[in-house]
Amino acid sequence: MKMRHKKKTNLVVFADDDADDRLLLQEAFEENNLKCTLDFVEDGIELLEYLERNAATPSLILLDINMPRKDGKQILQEIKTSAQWRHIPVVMFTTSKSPEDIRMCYDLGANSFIVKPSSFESLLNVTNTIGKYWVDTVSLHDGSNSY
Amino acid sequence: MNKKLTLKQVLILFLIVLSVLITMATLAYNRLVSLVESTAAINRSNEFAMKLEEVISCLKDAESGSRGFLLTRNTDFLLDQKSAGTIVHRNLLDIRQEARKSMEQIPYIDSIRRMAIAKIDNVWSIVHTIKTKEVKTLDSNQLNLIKQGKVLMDSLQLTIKNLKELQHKKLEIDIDKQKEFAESSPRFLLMNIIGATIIIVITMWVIYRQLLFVEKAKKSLEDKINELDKANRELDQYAFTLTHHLQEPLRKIRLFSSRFESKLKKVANTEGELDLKSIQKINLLAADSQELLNEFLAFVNLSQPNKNDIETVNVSEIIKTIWAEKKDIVKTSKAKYTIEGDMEIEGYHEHLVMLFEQLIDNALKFKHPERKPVILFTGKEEMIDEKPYHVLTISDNGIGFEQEYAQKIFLIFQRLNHKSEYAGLGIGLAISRKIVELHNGTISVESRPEKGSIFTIKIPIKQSIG
Repeated sequence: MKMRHKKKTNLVVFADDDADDRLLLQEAFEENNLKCTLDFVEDGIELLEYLERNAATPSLILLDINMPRKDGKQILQEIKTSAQWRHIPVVMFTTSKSPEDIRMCYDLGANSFIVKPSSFESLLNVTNTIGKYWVDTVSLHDGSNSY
Repeated sequence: MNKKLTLKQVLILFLIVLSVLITMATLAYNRLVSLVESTAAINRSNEFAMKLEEVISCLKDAESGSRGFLLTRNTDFLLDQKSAGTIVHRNLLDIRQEARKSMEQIPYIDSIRRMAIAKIDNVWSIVHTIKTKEVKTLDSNQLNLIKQGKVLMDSLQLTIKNLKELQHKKLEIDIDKQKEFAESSPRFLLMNIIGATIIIVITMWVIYRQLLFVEKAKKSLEDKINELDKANRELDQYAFTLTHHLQEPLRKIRLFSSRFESKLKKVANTEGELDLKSIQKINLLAADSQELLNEFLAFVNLSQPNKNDIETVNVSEIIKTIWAEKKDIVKTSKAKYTIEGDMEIEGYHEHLVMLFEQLIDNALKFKHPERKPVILFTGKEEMIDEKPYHVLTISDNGIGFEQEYAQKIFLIFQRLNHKSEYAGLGIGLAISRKIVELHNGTISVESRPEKGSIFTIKIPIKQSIG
């Protein structure tokens, strides 16, 4: 399931197999009026296909850990070891709070680790922070002429 | 036969076997000693007869020597009287020594000795008178002496004959005894060996059966323990998986209800007020359930740690760190603590931190509304059932509780107070008990309402062995 927004300014990809989480995140992005396009993929393999298919490099990848076929940690490792995509910021967005998962994701090169909020209010806050920081504030490498 | 013997029965069996074997060995030994003794007695008896013969022949030699001298006046016929006396004397002494055990022979031997001495004296007197008088014919005194010598010799021979007969009878008895012993001994020994072999075989069989039984019992016990371990691990796994899976829908319930709540807030009207309250209630209930699951997960996750993680832990340091982390509640409640005694114990650091966190939380949470919380920690070593233990106590001056609930408070989800008064799910002390049990120890509490509680933790000093 992919949702492409027409207005394309900044591109954020969210990889999560949970339809509810995708719906709620989309709603939170819309409610916050974030100036970005949100695309969805459902697992790691779809994310790889998405990256290969699209010419535009995402400004941010939001990545769940528990997904079928290829999980968040595997795909994180592949992205962060790939010359083509390793400059893309990856923010883990997961229900896991385990110190082991947190340590492992940072070891693999995750740029942030965010535990999925339990209330819509905090989801709004979190998405707002993500948008403000990763979309509005930071300067990103566009991936050209790098290597 | 009965499969299982008690220790007492085994001991009795052992004593019976031991006494039978000792009796058999004693009998065999006595038999051998008797055999050796009767053989020696026969040998001595033969010697006895030889020595008696020697005495007689010595006396006879003296007699015939004196006769030769009487006829020829040639002194060559005369024996050395002194040496004859010595031989007779020595042999009779030997014989007397030998006959010591049978008193009936002694009078005979003594009279033989007297007569033999008299006989030698008699022979010597005859020879002496003839030597001094230098005459061919014998006077009446000399004839008298010769007659006396004859009488002496006759009675001597008679006594010796009697003694010999007595000795012969004794010898016959000894020979009979020896014969009997010699004939029956091989049979007796064979019986002994067969008996001992049977006893040993039976004993070994009993021991073998016992060992077999013990081995089987041990094996089945080990199997049971393994099964139990497996079942426990499975239960933990189920609990873990179930809690984990329940968390996700609860999170969603909270997300959607809070989303709905925020939407309702925007369209505030009287009708919406009720909906808003309901949705807030749903959200709250889901949040409570989530907290419960989280705490339960913490409890389930307390599995047996790796023995290699055991280290010497300074509990004083742990208490100081926890106290520093709780600075907000410490400040508002003006709580104080004191540490007394030896607080260095062997254990799992991470678990001990969790344990003291729970206990300090407990003491601060159930503080008395009218006084500042004061917590006293003590530590000392103590022998319990001859094993060294480290005994730690945590005393507070909080609200306390009736002693009848002292067991109940360590059970999971057990609360003594209403939720509205004191927050919490009743997991903290269950976690504490589980941690103490992971250290092979025990935790107990003494409490009085309005006075406070004293928690006592006893854990073995040597963790690595337990």
